[in-house]
Amino acid sequence: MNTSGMYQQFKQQALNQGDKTAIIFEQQTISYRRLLELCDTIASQLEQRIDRDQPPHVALHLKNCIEQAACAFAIARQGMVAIPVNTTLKAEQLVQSCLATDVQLIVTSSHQLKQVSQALAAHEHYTPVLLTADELTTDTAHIISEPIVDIDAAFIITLSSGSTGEPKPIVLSQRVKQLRSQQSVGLFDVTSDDVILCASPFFHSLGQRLTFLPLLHGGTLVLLDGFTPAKWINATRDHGVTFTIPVSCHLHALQEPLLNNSQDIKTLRGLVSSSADIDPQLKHLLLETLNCQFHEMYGASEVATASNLAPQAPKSKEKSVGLPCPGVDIKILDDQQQEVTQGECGEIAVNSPLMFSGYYQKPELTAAAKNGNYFLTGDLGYLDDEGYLYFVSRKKDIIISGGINIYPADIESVIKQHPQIDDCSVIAIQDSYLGEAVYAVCATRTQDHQTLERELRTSLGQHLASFQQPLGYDFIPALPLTASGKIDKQGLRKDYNNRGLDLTATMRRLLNINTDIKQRQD
Amino acid sequence: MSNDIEQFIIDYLSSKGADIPADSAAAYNYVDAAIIDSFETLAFIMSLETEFAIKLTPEDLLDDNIRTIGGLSQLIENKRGRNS
Repeated sequence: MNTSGMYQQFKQQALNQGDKTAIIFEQQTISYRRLLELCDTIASQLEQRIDRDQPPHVALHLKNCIEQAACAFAIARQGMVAIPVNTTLKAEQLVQSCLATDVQLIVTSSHQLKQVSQALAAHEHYTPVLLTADELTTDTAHIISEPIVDIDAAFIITLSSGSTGEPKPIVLSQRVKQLRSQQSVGLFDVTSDDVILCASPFFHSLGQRLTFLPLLHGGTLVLLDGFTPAKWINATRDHGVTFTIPVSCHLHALQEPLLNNSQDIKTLRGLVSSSADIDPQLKHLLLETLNCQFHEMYGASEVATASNLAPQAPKSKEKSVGLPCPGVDIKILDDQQQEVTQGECGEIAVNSPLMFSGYYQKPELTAAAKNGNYFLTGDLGYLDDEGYLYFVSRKKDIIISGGINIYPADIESVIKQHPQIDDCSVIAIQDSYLGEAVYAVCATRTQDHQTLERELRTSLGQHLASFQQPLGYDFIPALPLTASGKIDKQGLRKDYNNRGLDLTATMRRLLNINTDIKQRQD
Repeated sequence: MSNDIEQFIIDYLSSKGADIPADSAAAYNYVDAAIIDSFETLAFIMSLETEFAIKLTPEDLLDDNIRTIGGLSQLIENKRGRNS
């Protein structure tokens, strides 16, 4: 069995590739040789900063950058545990995330250092080491030997929410991360010749996948510090990007730029849509215009990619999310967790060799998410007679906005703290850019809705991250209830989605989502 | 132009990591600088609306100039004037 971990696999590529470009980030490039040196420097710095009796937990509170990728491999090298954190979390949310995952060292950026440090000051019994990425990389360090590392132990903990409710810290080992990368190589024919674009943040499992995929297989990573259609198109054109996996909201925002610039991005050979809700019309348009292979996949952070709709799949299957990936088994279960008959809709359950190790220090939550060796996705779907999987809807009360999982309960609990709110329900409104947008329906007896909305916005702005902010509010005397006396969320969703709300129109206009493509500079 | 609006925008964007030149802040194009992602842009719009008791609509944003701090401040100043 393989005992060589993430760092060793990367190091092998670094030794093979030498001066080949490993990462292109903004105006910077770094070769494999130099990136390996950077990893070794960071590894040494990390060891010097932490007293260890067990593998230290290191929070990576950074936007995408070269140092983040180097830190991840340095952490793998030393058998430490990385916790990538969303940089848009409020400082207090960051501290809560670090507490929930027993973080001993926080790597942040120099511009957020003050905020993080202030938030930590409010917790006198919690004193993690706080460093900037610059401090880890600018000092010259004595290179230390590589320890023997258990590659089946925890390596990355991905936080699924910036949560005031129940966070779900997903634990993944180095071995599973390597297998996941290998899965992408097999599904999408990735080689060392590929130039792979990553426009997703590292705290998101997609950002990790797109970062590790090229670096573990000798390709080149083109890293963006954030997504805009113009950055995406320019990077693809300027660096000859061959492969990427955009989240569906990126793909929708890219529609016009991709069609207008199809002649400039001919290097793009493979594109994967990472969620089930891509508009079929957009898919046809892209297929007709771009000369590249188009995959659709279905999966979850807990199990990686479970199914893949390959470009060569018959047209009759285009509404499916494909066949189970090699090694993956999919079952459909009813409410009693019994397998349904073929064609019947139920919860999608996945057994995969790429399964997560569990939710960090939450054995009950982990057990509740499983049926034997199968992970319960919380999604509803069915299998046809040829084994193709069809996604129908989500079972859990979760909103997926811009590819990020958002738990309505987290937002509802803050809204309900307002003395004039009797009750509230946070629902998803279909959105052409984000896929789903967060909307709050609040029960109140006050008539001054304008003041109430201002107060709620201010309070939520202080306590919740930007992606958790409702983009719209409605105030009504009472929320509708089901026959059993629960809030009728389904009815609310249906009602408000029929109102033609467009919650991101102003943002799209401001960011020039459809028109901000620079002209080619020859 | 109202300095309090411009200062609010400068403080907000600086807290997100923007490096705004002191002598030419008004001309700083915060969209091209891409220091805030789409969620942060949504939160930014909501903060402006809440702080200055205005509502920004897509129609307000037709002029390219609103993507500079000076242009955006002017727009808010005009809207605030109409509301008061």
